[in-house]
Amino acid sequence: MSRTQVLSSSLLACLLGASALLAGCVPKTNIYDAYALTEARRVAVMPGLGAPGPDGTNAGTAESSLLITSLAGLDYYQVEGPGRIRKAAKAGLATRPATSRSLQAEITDRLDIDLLVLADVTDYRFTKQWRSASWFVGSSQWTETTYWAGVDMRIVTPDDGRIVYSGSGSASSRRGYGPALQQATGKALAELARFLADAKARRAKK
Amino acid sequence: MAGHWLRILAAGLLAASVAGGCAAKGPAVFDKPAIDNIHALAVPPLQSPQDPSAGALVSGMIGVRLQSARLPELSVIEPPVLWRLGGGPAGAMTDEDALRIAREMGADAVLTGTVTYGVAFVADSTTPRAMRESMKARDFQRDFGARKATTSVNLRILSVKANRAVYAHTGAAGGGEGSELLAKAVQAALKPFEDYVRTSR
Repeated sequence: MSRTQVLSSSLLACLLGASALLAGCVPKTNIYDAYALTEARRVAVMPGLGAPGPDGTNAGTAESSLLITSLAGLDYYQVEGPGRIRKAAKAGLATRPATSRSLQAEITDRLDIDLLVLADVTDYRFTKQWRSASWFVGSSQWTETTYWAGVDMRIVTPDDGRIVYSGSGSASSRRGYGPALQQATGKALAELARFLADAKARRAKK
Repeated sequence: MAGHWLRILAAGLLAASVAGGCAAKGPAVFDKPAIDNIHALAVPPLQSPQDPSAGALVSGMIGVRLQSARLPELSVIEPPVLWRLGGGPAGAMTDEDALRIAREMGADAVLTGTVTYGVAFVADSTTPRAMRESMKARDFQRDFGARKATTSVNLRILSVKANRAVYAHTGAAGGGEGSELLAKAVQAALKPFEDYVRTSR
């Protein structure tokens, strides 16, 4: 290979690399504040919202419970539901609106809650398909049901509302809504789980 | 000579496409100098008269979308979420309320608007006739009907400093169901804003 050929192939490789970077091949992360995520000790999962449409009305409650269990399973934070916040907010909400920044900051500060977890179920529906098969001695007909679930979650700081993590996941299952929602939640949490496992390992090394 | 006729034909086609509505409609309000001053955007729940959860759901999608897009010098602020304890966002929010929330949170602007979401059941003709006839019409539609949803997302960005709307645009989508449909409408409503912020900073 001549020197010119070597130079031109290196140049081509450089150009390809640069164009890949410019085209957005740099890995994207959903972690926006690593410090806030690693330093937090106690997080509260707020009530989730159900998906629009006829099936998803109560899906938000199911998702909140699932998220409490899943986050606790990461073994990094002390995870709690909205119970203590609800109790503490009762008196404050009589005099101030639910959109009051100072009320939210006061309550979470008093209860020592570092981060709030919000989860919304974006998809919660099923589809049925008619199936039939012909056999040598006859035919059979049956229906197949597929359950679909989608989850959007974000973790925010309670005093200034900064988003420190966001994740989304969707899944389908033939067995029911439970497995679909569980898989979708797992996907939404996947990056956070990896990040916190690394943080725990780093902490253990020190 | 042929070139002359081709030019006339091209001009005619262009005029016809514009008259026929092929030209993309831009935002109803698009105050670019005011948008230049927006660096922190609060995204409270949108209004949704038909389905109470849809508005809050879409505002969450917008928050995640804008944050993960990492638009230059623009951060998303989640307004207080104590309303979730009561089961859903309370009533319609006035522009004054929205601006107050943005001010309290230290945001430069607030995103408000409305979402409509409706689902219609369409009979699926691929299922056997005997089965269709053996079930009650309502049960059959619920279990086997293809669902066709339509949605529209009407967004307005209010500037705290200018005390007025600096961006207003609507996105609509239809045909399918679920979050993909909402995401399509959100994308259409936000695209001019995102493109401008991405290229101007």
